[in-house]
Amino acid sequence: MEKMDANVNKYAVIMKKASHDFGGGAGVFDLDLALPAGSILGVIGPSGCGKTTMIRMVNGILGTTSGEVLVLDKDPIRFTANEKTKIGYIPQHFVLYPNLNVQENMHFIGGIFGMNNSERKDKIQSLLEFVDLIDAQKRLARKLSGGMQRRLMLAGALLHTPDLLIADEPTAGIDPILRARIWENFRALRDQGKTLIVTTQYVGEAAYCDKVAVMRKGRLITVDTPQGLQHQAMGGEAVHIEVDSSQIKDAMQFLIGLPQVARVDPVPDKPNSLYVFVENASKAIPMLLSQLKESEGITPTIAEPYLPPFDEVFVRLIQRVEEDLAMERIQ
Amino acid sequence: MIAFFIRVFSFFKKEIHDVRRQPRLLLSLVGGPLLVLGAFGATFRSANPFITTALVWPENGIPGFSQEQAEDFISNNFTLLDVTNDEEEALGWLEEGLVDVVQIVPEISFEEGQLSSRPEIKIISRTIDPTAEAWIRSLAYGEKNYINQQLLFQQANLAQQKAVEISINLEDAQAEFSQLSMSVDPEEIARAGEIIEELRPFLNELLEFLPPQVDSQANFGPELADVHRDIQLLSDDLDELEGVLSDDALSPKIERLENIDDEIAQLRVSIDDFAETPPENIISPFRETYTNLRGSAFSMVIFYAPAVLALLVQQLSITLASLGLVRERQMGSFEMFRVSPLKFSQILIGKSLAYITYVTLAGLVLTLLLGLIDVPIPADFGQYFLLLVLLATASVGIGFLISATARTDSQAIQLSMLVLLLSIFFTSFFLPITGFAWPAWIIAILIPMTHAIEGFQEVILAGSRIGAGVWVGLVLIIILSYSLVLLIMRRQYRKVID
Repeated sequence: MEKMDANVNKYAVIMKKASHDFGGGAGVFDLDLALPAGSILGVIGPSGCGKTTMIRMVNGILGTTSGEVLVLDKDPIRFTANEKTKIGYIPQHFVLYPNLNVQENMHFIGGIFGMNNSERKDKIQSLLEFVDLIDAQKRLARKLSGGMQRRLMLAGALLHTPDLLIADEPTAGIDPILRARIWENFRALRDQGKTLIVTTQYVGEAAYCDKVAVMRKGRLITVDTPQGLQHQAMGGEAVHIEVDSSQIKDAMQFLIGLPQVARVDPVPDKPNSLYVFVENASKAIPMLLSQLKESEGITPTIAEPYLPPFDEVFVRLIQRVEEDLAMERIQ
Repeated sequence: MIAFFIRVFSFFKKEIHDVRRQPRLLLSLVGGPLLVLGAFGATFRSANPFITTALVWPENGIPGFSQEQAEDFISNNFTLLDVTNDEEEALGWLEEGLVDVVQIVPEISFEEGQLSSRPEIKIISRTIDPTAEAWIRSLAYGEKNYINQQLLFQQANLAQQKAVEISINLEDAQAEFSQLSMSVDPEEIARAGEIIEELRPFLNELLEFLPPQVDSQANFGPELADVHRDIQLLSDDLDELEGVLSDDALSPKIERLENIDDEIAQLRVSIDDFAETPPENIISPFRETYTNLRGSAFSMVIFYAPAVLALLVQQLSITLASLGLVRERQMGSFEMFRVSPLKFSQILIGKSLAYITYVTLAGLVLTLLLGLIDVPIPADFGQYFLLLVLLATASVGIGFLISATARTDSQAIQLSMLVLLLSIFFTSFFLPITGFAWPAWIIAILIPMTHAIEGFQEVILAGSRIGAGVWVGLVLIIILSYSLVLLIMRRQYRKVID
């Protein structure tokens, strides 16, 4: 996580112990976060963990009950009309008008941001091309597929050229191919210098982000890069090693004894494979291969870095938090 | 400032597209009620209730009033199904529901030209409908008056014949009193007592035949009053003469004889007038004339057309507006608007302008369509147009108020229906508001249709200027409804996630 207060201007969003308490244990609590401008922050967590509440605190719909939120250097609750144009927002559900066609919906959004007709026209065309809806521009929104509606929302949120785009579960309920395309769009925007905050229930989408905030029960468990998260979850980097099944026990015993190895786990359903956890996988692989050969005469058939899926990372992180909490309760 | 108008116009345009893409909504809201009005116009025959009746007629009839007369009169307002002499049979029909009303006319007998008792016409029904009951009672009252009038007519006719007969006796008596007044012989003058004795029975007989002066059901002419007055004066003079006949002094007797001569002459003149006057003028001297300065009233269909127009415009506005904000809220659009620079007032103005435009256009189309059933086209189109716009604006305000308080589409529709019910009962649409106690008047004032009905009737039917009360009423509703909507919705808009 970035150090806060070091340079306020380089952060698009800063949250300092920010809470919004709805009462009865509901809400978000003590959120600490600093999001550098020009990056993508993915917010992941199970349904009801407080992702949307956090988003609403960032876009100025909800204030804080304690702590502080700064968006583009200002409390978003006090944004002027002009400052609000720097934010683009894609709510969780489709909120555009089913009886208006794609182009009319876009013009409507441009209108509410005060853009005149000539300003809107060219921008709409280029954005519809960007989200691949140019051929559907005369189609009524109610006749668009779920994915097209999402992309229309994305185009609408970008129409007034915001600096910060906030998207609340933009990929929910759509197929993996389309999700990948939406993330392509997001990364393209990031490359143009925009800052994005994207919530998602698809843990795997964390891989597309520059930073990932993991939430559980209204609290931030951690904020890190995707690789950092994997490292945190696994206690290091993993190396996948496959040997002859008759040598698996010997290999496991030898590897556990090495000082560079933190842990060795058998691979479920693969009796001749092991995961070896080390500090740095790419540096450790040559050393592991030579030591196995020299000491045990074992030559692995596969030795490669293993990137655990984020589902697994997420489960491990949650498990770790729950174990920590259980320990706290015992103590 | 330009951005303000761009935002408002953006909402205006969005609503125009949104409603345009729902042609069935507009058709059902405008075309449906118009078809109902058309069906009403094509099939309406009478506002009078359809009431069946049976007549119980006395076996011996009523002197001077035939059963046919009674049947004709009753058939004007009731559907006469049967006539019988048997009261029990008629009441049986009523019990079985074969007729709605039974009318029982009693036996009537006359003694020396006068009714022997005060007969009673019985009207019996089993209706549960208060309007029908009021109608029956009113018709019964009219029927009683009609029969009374017929009987009085007959009595006046008899009295006229008797008066002519008695006038001959009076002439003889007058000649004798005249002769005595010129005499100086006390014995001859004493004969006046005998003449008085002969004259009094005639006067009493005449009084008996004359219709009574005091009859609350009749309006007697002055001719009858004159005869009554002159009989009384003559009787008084005869009493006075009798009083002085035994005196010695001659001059008081002569003086009274001369007075009696004059009184008899006057009474004979009155009797002649009475006898020559048509009997209907004696019993009912007033006749009515009715003039409608506009020519004539409109047909029921045309008379109700402005009220139907007001109802359609109001309900179309309320329906559109009541769903307008609820749908935005349900869709979650407010959340997106809150993140944008859009203010709630801009949403309200944009939506209002779109709905008012649609409703005003619909109102103009309806006005043209009403022309097809001969409803006049407003002469002062400027006033008419302004009234239409104000009605639409006030109704949209009420619709937004519903939208601000309803949480779902169905709640908004239910509240709109409630306003429709209130409008039908409390706006003089069918029942005049003056027939209600004052709390209902407050409701009436708060419904745009109350003012619009008055205004449309003035500008379309009466061709006159719309009264200030109509304008003031609508403007007050606009101010009140929009202020409340802003108050409620601004709070909701700030708390969009609730």
